[in-house]
Amino acid sequence: MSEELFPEPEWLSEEVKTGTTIIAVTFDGGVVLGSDSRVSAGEAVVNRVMNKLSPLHDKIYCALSGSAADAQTIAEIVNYQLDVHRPRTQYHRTFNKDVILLTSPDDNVVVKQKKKQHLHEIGHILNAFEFDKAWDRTVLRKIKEKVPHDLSIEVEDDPLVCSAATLVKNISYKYKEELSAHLIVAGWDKKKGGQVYATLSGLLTSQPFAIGGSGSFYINGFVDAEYRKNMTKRECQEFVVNALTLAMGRDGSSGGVAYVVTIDKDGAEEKCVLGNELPKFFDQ
Amino acid sequence: MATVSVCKYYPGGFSFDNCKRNALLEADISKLGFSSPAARKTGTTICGVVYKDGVVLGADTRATEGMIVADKNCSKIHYISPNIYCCGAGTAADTEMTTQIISSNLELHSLSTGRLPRVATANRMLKQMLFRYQGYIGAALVLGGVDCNGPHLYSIYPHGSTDKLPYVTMGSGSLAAMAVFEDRYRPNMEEEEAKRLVRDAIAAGIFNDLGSGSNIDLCVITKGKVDYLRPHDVANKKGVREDKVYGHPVTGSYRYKHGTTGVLTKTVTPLNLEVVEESVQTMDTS
Repeated sequence: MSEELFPEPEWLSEEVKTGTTIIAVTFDGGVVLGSDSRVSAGEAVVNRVMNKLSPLHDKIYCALSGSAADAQTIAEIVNYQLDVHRPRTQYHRTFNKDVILLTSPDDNVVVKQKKKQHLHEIGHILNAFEFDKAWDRTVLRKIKEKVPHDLSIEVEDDPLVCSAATLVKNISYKYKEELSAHLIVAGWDKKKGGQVYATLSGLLTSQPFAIGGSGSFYINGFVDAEYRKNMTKRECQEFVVNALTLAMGRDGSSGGVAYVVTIDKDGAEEKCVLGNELPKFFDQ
Repeated sequence: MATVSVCKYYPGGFSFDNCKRNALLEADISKLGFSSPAARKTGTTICGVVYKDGVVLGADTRATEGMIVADKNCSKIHYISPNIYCCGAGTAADTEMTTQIISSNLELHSLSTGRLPRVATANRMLKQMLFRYQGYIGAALVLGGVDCNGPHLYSIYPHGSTDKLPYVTMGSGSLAAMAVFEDRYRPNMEEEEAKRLVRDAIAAGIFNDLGSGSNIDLCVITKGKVDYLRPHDVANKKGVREDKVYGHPVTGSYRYKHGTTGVLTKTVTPLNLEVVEESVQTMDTS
């Protein structure tokens, strides 16, 4: 009696890979990132709707490819490291004057000043202060001086895309032998506008556009021929969707739906293009 | 006088050298005449689905050791916290210990925050631990629970990648179970419909996969309540042997009617024995 009678399917022990096609393109005023949604383990598809565009910060996203575990872990680590750039105070955009605190989601109690003080003392609130919706960053900076020193406020500008890409590159380079993931970092910052960085094997290079993943080999010619400088946002999104469609059509490890994220000075906008909404190409 | 010694530089982090040694040994072991011990695996079908009020987790109950069923009724749905449960596929020991470790850490964390733990926290802890061991811990998990943000369902792979989805399946029978889900899943199902769907998915795994079998366990988690239904469905009932065939009792009885075997000859030989010693030993029947 041999093991062949009950062979364990190979995909059970196979590592989960994101077969994938990922692409990031700059346009005049921002970047557009795109990815497919298929995650495979050997020959089986384990997740057909995975969003491979992972946020590192508000206006910086990265596209994952390669080993799913390695890519997810790198993205989460860099996301954690970039949290340093978040203002440490907790404020709610919808509250006007007072920060209304509830001791537990089930309570319907508005908490008064003395109670807030007590909650802060026993550690249920880390940082909080009252603010007015109309205040902006410059006002917050002035408040910084007036707040007690044990409530630390770090009002910092959003991180540069280059910083985020460098953090990713450092991890990819240091653990080059152990990891097998390729992340493309793209985003918008005040200094240089929309940028795309490729971080393959620990190299860091800024490019007008970048493609990655197993499906990218099929569209190298297409993107080289069709890319133009200074496209509009609309044209860029169409370019990305076309590239993804062509790659998903030819690569067995890419498929599902297309996720598209557009980042400009106003923020990031996520969109999902379903399979039947993708453009149709010559398909006999 | 100089000593020439080469110090081996050990970089930080885990050393997986023994794994390479094990792989080489496994390749040669048949030549030496031994066979490597088979780890007990839960061949398994596990799945979970998010419905209107919470999550339903389901699992079969067969544990295999190579080609033999080691446990016909093992429990694959593990407790993590009062509102979070986890099904485990892969190596039985790995899933058991991993879930116990994370359950313990999560309880400490929950006491420290003073809040009911969140499913995302359990997910993070599990994935970080599995990634640290680079896939050598063979635990594929389906994690589900209800917390302050609603019902959540995650699938966690041995190498440390996770997916957050409305319905997931894992294990050797996962393709069979996924086929049922892909056909009949709808968002916001009612509890009975969700339980039926999970039961049917596990049944598909049990009947179409050799590594899964026996009964179906379900765990229904809602806000504030957990129903651990073990067994929910005894899909494989052991047959009952018939008591009598042609009037003769069959089950375990080897009594036959007098005259069943014909007697051909009969010889009686008395044996002459001498009584040497006779003693009486009283038995303590108190």
